[in-house]
Amino acid sequence: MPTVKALDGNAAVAEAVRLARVQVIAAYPITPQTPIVEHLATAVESGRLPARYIPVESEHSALSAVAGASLVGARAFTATAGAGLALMHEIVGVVAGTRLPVVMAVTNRALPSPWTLQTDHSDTMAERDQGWIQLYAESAQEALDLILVGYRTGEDPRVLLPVMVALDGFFVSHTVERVEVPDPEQVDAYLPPPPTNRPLLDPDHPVTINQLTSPDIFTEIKWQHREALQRALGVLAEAGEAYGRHFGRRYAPVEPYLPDTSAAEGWPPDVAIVTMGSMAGTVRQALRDGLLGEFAAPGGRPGPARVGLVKVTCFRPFPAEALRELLAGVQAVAVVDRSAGLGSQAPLAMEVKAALYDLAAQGRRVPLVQGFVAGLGGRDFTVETLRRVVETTLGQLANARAGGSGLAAGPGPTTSWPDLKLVAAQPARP
Amino acid sequence: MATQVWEGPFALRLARTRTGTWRHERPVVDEQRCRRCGICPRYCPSGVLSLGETLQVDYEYCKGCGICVTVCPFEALRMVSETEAAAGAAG
Repeated sequence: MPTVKALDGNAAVAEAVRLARVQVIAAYPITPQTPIVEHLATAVESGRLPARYIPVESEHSALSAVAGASLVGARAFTATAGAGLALMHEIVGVVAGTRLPVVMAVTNRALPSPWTLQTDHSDTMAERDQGWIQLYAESAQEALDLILVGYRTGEDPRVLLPVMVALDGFFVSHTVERVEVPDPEQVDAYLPPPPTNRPLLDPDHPVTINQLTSPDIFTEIKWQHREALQRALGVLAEAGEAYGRHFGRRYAPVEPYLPDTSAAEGWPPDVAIVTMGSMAGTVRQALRDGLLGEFAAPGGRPGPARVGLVKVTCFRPFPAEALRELLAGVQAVAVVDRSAGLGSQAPLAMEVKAALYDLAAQGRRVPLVQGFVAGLGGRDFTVETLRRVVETTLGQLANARAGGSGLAAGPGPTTSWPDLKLVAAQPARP
Repeated sequence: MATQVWEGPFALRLARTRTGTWRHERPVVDEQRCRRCGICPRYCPSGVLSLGETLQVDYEYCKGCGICVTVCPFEALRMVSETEAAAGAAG
């Protein structure tokens, strides 16, 4: 029987690491991840978690130590945030390319500059092409669950890839919620011991690991990694489905939500809001409790516009096909990113647009996609901001209807920052 | 014996790289000065120094970094260019 506890995201992550019977932990403290490290150090010291805890001098060393542990077959874990993840950057690619199934919790913290302790997704977005599986948790419960789903997926012999579990700093990491903590026996039934049928450091069977390559072989090894990441989506779906059977909470790479009816029956809505992390929780609650008020339905149809949520839990590998099928019948898509995507459009919006491009190729109608950047540097994503998101999207849709082309586009900017507070320029000091 | 197939940057067939070919200069031992104190084998980053009756350098793998020369308290080691060493061997 699971135990119900009042836990914040950090404590929930630590519980999951204990339940997963992690054998080696190496981590360096950084706000807002530090309590994870402290909980685990205490659990090891008290004997509650029989793991080896290695205090290291930096995040770069933390991931290096975890890689070494994984190379002898141990189940290893680390956690970081923001600039700490940036410091690990060099090793992040090594761990993925060397196919080490470690799990890392990232309490999302904005990368400087400006300097902040607060959340946005710029840290994990900066690692998105390194070849890890990236999952985004909406709540403390999800943070706990996704650590376990992560180990089961990453360690699957069809995958053998590392998993990042992202949880919004402070909003999820430090907010106390009701969390169901599974029984160790339940977890043991779900999560088998770590795999040893993979290249390991063994003096009796020497293997060269991550050695220098020439152009003759590099591309093929990269292709293997690509194929593994493709397979990971199906394995993740299986692991998430199994989690539902074992623990009563099912996870899928992408999940639709409608407030008035089940998503299976009432889909598609007029407007779908695509987002990740704790913002998905805000959207869910706003829709469920009718906090947004009503908007006129598009195309002059009587009654209010129907708004739904598409929550992306798995950002890498990106579930393009599932998203395409969910969004194909929708009138307009509002993608809310929690990172600026400087120099181009924001990352989640670009993924959605790329996924929808194939609809055009198939001769199907492509919904209007409006990109939004909000919640940077810990700015709260409020119901008011969400209202502005829906208003802007419906406004763009109304202006686009006159066009009638297969690809709908409104006249305004394709990306807007709905929570931006513009003030008049201040004169410089004399 | 079944062949293991793994994905990723792993090599099962080991071919040595004779790192000695990377050298521009090599350490040469002055056996009169060498006290067999054991300091240089501990410092050698490549593990190519061994202390038996005399100090031996494995020139097949020695990369010529010169750390042994720096740490020797008795100046029993000196670096000699590969050109000079080759000329010495030929002459």
